[in-house]
Amino acid sequence: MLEFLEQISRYAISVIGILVLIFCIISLLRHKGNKTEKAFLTSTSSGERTSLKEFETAIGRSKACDIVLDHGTVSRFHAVISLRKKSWYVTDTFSKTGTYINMKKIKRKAPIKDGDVISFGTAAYKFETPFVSEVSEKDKNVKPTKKSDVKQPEPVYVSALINDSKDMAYCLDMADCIIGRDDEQCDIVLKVPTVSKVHARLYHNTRGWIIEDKGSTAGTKVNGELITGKTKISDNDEINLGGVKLKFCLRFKRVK
Amino acid sequence: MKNTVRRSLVLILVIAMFFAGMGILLAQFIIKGPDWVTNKADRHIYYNGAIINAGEIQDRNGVVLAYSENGERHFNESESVRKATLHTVGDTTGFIATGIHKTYSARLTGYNLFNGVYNLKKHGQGNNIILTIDSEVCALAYEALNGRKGCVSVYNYKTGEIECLVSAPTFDPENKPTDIDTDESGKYDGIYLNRMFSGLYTPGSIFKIVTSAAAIENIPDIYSRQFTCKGSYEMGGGKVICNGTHGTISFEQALGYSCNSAFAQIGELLGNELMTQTAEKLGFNKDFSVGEIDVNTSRFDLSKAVAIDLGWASIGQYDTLVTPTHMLTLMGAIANGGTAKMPYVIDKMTSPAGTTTQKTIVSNCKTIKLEEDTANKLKSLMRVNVNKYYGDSRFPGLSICGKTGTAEVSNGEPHAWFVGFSDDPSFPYAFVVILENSGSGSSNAIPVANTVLQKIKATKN
Amino acid sequence: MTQLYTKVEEKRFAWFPVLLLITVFQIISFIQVILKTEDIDLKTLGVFSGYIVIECLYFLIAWLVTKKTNFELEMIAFFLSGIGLAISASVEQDFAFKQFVAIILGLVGFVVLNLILKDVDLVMKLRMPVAIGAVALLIVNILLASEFNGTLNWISIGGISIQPSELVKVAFVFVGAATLEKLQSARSITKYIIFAVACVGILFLMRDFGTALIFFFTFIIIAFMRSGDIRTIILICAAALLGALLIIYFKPYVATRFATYRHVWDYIDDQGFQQTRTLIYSAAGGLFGVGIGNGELKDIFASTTDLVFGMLCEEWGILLAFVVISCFAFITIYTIKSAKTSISAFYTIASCSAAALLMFQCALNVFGCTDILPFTGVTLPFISRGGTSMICCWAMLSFIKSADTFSAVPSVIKKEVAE
Repeated sequence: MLEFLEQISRYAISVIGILVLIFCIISLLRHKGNKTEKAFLTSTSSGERTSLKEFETAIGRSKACDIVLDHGTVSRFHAVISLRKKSWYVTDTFSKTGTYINMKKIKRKAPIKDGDVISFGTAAYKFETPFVSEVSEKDKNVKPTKKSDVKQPEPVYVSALINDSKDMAYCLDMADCIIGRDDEQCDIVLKVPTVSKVHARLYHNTRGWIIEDKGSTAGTKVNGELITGKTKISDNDEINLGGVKLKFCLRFKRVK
Repeated sequence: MKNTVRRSLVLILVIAMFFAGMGILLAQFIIKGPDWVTNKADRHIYYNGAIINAGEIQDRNGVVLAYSENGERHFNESESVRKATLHTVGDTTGFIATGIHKTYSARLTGYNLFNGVYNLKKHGQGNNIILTIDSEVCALAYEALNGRKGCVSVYNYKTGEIECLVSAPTFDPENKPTDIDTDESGKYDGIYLNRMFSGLYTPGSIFKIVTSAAAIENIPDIYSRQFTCKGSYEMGGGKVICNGTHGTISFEQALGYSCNSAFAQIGELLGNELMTQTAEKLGFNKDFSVGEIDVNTSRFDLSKAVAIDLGWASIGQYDTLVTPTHMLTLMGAIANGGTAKMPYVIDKMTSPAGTTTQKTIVSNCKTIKLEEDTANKLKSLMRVNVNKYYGDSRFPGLSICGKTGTAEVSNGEPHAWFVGFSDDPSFPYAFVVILENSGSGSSNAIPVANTVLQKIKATKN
Repeated sequence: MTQLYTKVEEKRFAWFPVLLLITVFQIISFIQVILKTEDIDLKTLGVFSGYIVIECLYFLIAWLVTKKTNFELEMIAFFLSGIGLAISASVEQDFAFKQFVAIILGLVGFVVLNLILKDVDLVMKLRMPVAIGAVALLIVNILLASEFNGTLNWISIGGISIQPSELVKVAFVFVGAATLEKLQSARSITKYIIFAVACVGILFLMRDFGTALIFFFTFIIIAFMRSGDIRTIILICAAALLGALLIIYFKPYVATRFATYRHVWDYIDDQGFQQTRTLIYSAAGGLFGVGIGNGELKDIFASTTDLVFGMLCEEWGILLAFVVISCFAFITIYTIKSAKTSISAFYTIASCSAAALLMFQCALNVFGCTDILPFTGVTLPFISRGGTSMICCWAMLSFIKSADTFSAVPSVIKKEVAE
């Protein structure tokens, strides 16, 4: 009897060994590493939408990057967007033109959340994600907020043009926008007869925000002075577009 | 990220190399496994370099020649059988390279890739090997050698079974002499050689059979020609000495008297090319094996020969060397009408349970190509030899065809040869006897052959 | 808004049947060991039952805590460790207890390292201290070590001998891997090269060429994973070859250690002793082996460490031995697959280099003792006897496991679909 069992067990261990390996291989074959779209970057100028499927995404002009931005102001290896334990982060990898979150230049690494506008140089992208950040901008390393808190709208800072008379603000979500009367061509539409169809262009580059008159009939004034070429504007400057007075605010607190 | 992920594919290369290594390893296990397992360092089979665990070796009558018991290897109980069968069975340490213990060790231990040495380890049993030899006949043949070095072998030319195979000097594997490695008197010279397979000897007059075969095939009027013997024959600035002065003789008489002068003349008539051609047709310079036992190759080479050398070569001197196995097979070819059955020593192998796992199938020897007509002519010439010249009375009750040889060697007495066969369909045996440095073939080798043949004849009745 | 983050489909590893199979396997092998051993120690029986209990408990707890079933790696590790335990016990009962303790330590290390590795930021902060610590440990090793079997890679602290080079292997992978943002901002791998050269150099001084070779190979893999620059890799290899030739020129004794390579049968009773015995007895085992405890190789020096593959072949069978080494190939394929979806480049690099290290070490051991590669005397991961080595193997496994996203999805909260 013992002899027989010994014979059996001699073959059994090999057979079981093979079975264990086969089970593991079957499981490996069944497992498909399906990547889900974790976030989107939408170009504010072209509207082109790119999905982020990885947890770490390299952005830059180089073909070696995961998202290749063929843009003059983007460095070869510009930045990395990463999904970490608590939040999404964007890390500037020593780019020449800098990385901005909602027009604010980041030093090295900063958390980002749904709806933020990230600018790589002057290429601005709206960031959308279904993941909700657990950290606020000010205190990165505090304990995660409770789920109920998360739903409350958080203050978001964007640059904006404020029309005091009408008590409304035009948020500059994009790094490049056209102002004028025409619905189709302009990003900010001022339905005032003295404003030309395409009146002016407001855009952001490494120097800051620049305004440029687009050959309007009534002209564009900054702090009362008529401008001819490209003019840099700073916080609280008054911009007069054909009689419409707008105040430029660099950090405008927007409520979602 | 995509770059980092893509680079991870370098691991596929690593895996590929790994699997290649595994493949090589597995192939080595399959190809070299049997050699490795039967290495003397393997303690499953050997202890201190001596084989301890293996299957039984039996003779044709089931007499156990070697077996394992309690982790020790034992041999037959009779000392003369042990000594007589030593070279066939092989010693425990594998010094006898052509012994069964060495050449068939993997089979003998029952090793196979599937089970390894499990059965040997578990039950102490390997495969049994049943030989074709008859231990009693061998023992008698060993006694007939009477202390002389040499070998005796008899095989059935219809079936190929070697029934008698003795090589001397030999020793008793149960009581191996202690002075075997230190002795300088020469009594143990070549003790580990099975002379039957590994011995290379000058053939002397028995080579005249080959020369005769060449003459029959290439000289149309050979039977009507006359040769003159004046005690020697001068050719190419040299002289071939004869064993007598035979005067004017025919071809048939020349073979009967074993006249060197006549055969030197035949050689001269044939020339180097035809001699070489015939020798190679008859298996010279061709590799030869008995089962898996390698046999040394017989050599016949006239490429550097000058005129006189051809004369010497025609009578089996010069550089020509033969193995007894080759001569035995050649005799089988003549006896069997041109086609020789391959001689073999292993009848079958059986598993421990007794079922036959492997049986030797009789095959024809492919290296010896003899015309049937030539074979028959040689057979009658050799029959005449015995009948008229050696005397049938020396082989009572047998009808023998044969040729003696007295091969001159550089050191000592000549080697005594006697090769031939029984021309009797009910007793189809070919034989070879060589006694080293023992004088004339006729007076020394013939009695040994007769003793052995009579013994075989007795066992058959 | 559409639901972007769909819950990743849970893969269904039939872990329970596999656990059952492994347990049966271990019970059979342990019983064979017990039957073969005369005057069996109670402690050995305890070790065997303890091992099976711990194994089952681990999977049960892991299943309840993580609610996941991706246990292939641990399953393989427990399978291999169990074989190693049985082999150790079949040769010498004392070995079994030490090996058992080592497996427990390895398992603890595996769990702890897994928790640490979940936080990439923490890991990136720890790299520098770990690197310094590793080099310091090697230096301490070379100062304190006493020669053992021609190498200096053992130190003894309070009666417990450890092999620091095994621990440094963990640090080597830990320091070598980096996140994508780190890779993009610091293109050069100079610091890592300095660390690697220091490690390999000290190992050479210890005359532990096998481990040095493993480090070098791992370094090549990490360097390639980080830079993707084949030219640099070729340059490094050329430099290493030149260095090796210089060493052989100035220290010829190094070369003599490899002189028998491919000629082991000519040195059957001296330098080729171990390799030829391994070959002889491996072949003698056949496909199914001669049975646990029935082998002859166990009496040869280093049978449970460097020659353990031979013991596997002889006593457990060539078939199982090939299953065992295929397990390492499986681990590597698993790594390639999970590296695709890993959370960070850190995990991709760490897991790939850890898998490559295990595989290379396995190759050096298996093909070294069978004379397909030079015999360097390294251990077979998980199987060979040796505490530090066992801990290192489990640590390597946690690197591999870390790349498997199913075990480490970030704790970000899913946005509600209604929004």
